Amino acid sequence: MNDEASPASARGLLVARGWVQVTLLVLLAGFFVLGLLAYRTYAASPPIPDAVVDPSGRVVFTGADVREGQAVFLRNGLMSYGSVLGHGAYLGPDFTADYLRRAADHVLDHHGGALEGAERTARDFQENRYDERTGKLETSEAQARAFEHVRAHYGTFFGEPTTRWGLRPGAITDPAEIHQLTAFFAWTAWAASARRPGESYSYTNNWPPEPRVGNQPTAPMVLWSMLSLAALLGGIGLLFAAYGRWGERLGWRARDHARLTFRDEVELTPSQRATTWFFVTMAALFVVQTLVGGASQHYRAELTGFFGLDLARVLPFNLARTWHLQLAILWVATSYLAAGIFIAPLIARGEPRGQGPFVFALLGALVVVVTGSLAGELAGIHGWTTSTWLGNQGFEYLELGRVWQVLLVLGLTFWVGLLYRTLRPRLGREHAGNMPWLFFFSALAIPAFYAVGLLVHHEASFTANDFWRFWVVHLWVEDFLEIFTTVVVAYMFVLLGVVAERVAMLVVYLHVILYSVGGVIGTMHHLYFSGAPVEHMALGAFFSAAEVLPLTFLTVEAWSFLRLGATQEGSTSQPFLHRWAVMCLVAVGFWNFLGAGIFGFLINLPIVSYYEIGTALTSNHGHASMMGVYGMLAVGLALFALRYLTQRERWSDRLAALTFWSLNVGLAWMVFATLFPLGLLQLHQSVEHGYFEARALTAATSETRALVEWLRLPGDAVFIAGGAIPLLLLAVRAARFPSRGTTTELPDVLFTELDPAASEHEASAESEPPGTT
Amino acid sequence: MSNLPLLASAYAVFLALVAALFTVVSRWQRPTAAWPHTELPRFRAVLARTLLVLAGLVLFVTALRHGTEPTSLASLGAAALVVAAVAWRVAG
Ligand code: HEM
Ligand SMILES: [Fe+2]
Repeated sequence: MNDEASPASARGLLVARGWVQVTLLVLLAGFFVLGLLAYRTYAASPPIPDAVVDPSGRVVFTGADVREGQAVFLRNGLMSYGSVLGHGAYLGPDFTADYLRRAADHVLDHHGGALEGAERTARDFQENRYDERTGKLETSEAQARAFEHVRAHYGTFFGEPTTRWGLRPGAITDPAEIHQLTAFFAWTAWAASARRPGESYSYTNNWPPEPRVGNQPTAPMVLWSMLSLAALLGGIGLLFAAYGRWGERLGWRARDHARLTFRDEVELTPSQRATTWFFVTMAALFVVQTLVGGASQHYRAELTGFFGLDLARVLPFNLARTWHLQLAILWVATSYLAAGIFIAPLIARGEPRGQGPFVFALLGALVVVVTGSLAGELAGIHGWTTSTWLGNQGFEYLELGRVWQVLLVLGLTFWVGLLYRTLRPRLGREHAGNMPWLFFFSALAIPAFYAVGLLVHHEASFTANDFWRFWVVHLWVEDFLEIFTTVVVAYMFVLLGVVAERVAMLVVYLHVILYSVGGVIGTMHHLYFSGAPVEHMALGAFFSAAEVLPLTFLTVEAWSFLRLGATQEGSTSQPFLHRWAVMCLVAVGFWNFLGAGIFGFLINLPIVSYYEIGTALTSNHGHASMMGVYGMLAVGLALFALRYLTQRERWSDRLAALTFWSLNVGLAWMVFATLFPLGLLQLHQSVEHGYFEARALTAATSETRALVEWLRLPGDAVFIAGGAIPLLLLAVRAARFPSRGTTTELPDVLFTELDPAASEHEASAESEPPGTT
Repeated sequence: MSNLPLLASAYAVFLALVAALFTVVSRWQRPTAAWPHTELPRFRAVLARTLLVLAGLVLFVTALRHGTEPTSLASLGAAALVVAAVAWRVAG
């Protein structure tokens, strides 16, 4: 829509048109390239042969076995136990590297041991004997025997009648399923070692590092690592230059010299009141998430026995980890849904009739999806059902059954519909590039990108699945959630009167552009070794370096979320209402820089990822960024809304403070006590001894590693007891003592302006937090 | 002898340096900075203290296990001095 086409009464675009054009251009260009890469993913991923035969023509395993093995792997929740091609969970081994090592050792023995057989072993694995015309892949005699040898090993491993590996007793006992599972692992190991036709490296860019089969870093890997570093340094230079030139006008700026006092009771619409129950749900899910997280951590510190209990009979590691991950997504999403619902009536200055019941219907649907999907995962992982529709789909981050996945997409879409219903009168009066529309579009992106996950399914190849899966994981967290966050926070500040709408819009556009330049194509930094062709690695490394740029900017004062200006100060003795909500934004800025920026880039270069993927350094980054940024923001949004939803005298700033500090101290402890040092140890081990060793279950029992795993216990305790539980108490308080609300109509803004002239001389100097007098 | 004492000492020193860095950065705060920028030093100060406590715990636990070996005592002792020095500066 443009100015001319808008209704006569519509408000024109508040910023220069160029902002909208550049934004659209960046998004279009990014997705055009991703489209090409999607095509290349299908065209150049490793083929699944119809049959794998030994030199005498005997079938070792078939393509059907491979596909069925993938399904066995997924529905039993094994991607939440170990990994394949580096992706999955980290307690168990990486089964690609595991198979490769076990098979290579066997082949090596067959060829006469390390001294005589090394060259022949490497040749056996590297030579690509797949014939496209016949669909047949020929293995060497030794490899065919190795398959049987490794299959016997997995038979014992997965058939283990006790819980000593952290899996349910007798997890997989059917010999046919063991055969299929082994075929799947063997196929990934083939893709990891057989050279691409015409190239000197394997389908997975020689991942995993395995000297026995001659897998070592490739030339493009080193080249693009270097270019990616150059992109980062160049980008930072450019940013410095731009900041020098336009710094005055970039970033957040406070409204000039206004003196404000904040309404601490506002009229609440029915739908806003309903969000109380969203926050109760969210906080309850958060508590459960941290508890099952604690359980899965316990398996790392002590594989068997949970303080004397045989926990894995009820809650095997892969179930705990599945719930931990799914609940993380669900509780954060619940908070965002609620925040959207809470803010929409403030934007529209009212809401249509019947909105309250609709919002409760949404909550009901959400509860059904949450309990249904968690129960499905339970049933799937315990082997009570093999249905991927109601049970366990088992893809990391998309573990939930397909029915629940579809329902969740519908629920999110319904949520956008509800927002639209409230916003409609306002949207009609605004240019499509103005704040209300930006809010709407950024909300729409959430279901849109979650829906891409429906392209991931059991029959598709692992590579294609990884490609689409990371559209959800990466494009959510590194682009569209980042954008939704910015829009919501910007709107909060506009409503609080501390930032002018135009300034907020400029910030939003700049964010969208900066996040999307790197973030869209940067998705490919998850596909370095998934079997996608080399251009995925090249473009992924280069563009994701640019993702770090907006994050480095967070250390510049005016850029961070915090530039609220001196507006709240000195005007009244009344404490600033949203002190702890805003503190959460302080934390978001901090963790965005440390957790996403530094810890993310730490593992971003292909040459680092090559040795590191699937170790605690990924976990380190994942926790510091996911909890530090989106978790902290979800908590901040909850505190913001709960403050209005709770009776004034029942609100407890002390509980809010406790939550805030415990979450941050607990997270910092978790990261610095365990995940970061453990990751460094593993990285060292991976380069020095081999990736297989770095991931081996037994390595976890070495003295140093055991100590490091135990060290996080105090931090986790603080996080759960001091962070998650008090938040739940706050939410429950809001439900028990709902705000009475005032009789005035819904305010345009959440503040009242005091005499603007009086403040001018005092507004600049003071820096005390409001209300500390 | 395991190399745990040496690693633990090095890591404790690293933690102390990060804590020191947080503190130094906070002292660069502009006097005119507005709330909630003024909260950032406090945020970093709490995290700095957390890291120092962690560093102390790492040294303590390692000393309990390896305190009898003279070389490990030396490295742990040296690291403890660094941690204590930073702690004294951060608190001061
Ligand atoms: C707030 C923003 C971010 C969040 C919430 C986030 C979250 C995550 C999570 C949960 C993972 C684990 C994925 C897995 O299990 O396979 C991950 C992996 C990774 N992230 Fe981020 N991330 C963020 C930003 C960044 C940034 C800015 C970079 C660097 C440019 C980055 C680089 C990586 C890399 C290289 C991996 C490992 C690739 C893989 O194993 O698939 N991330 N991230
Ligand atoms: Fe990513």
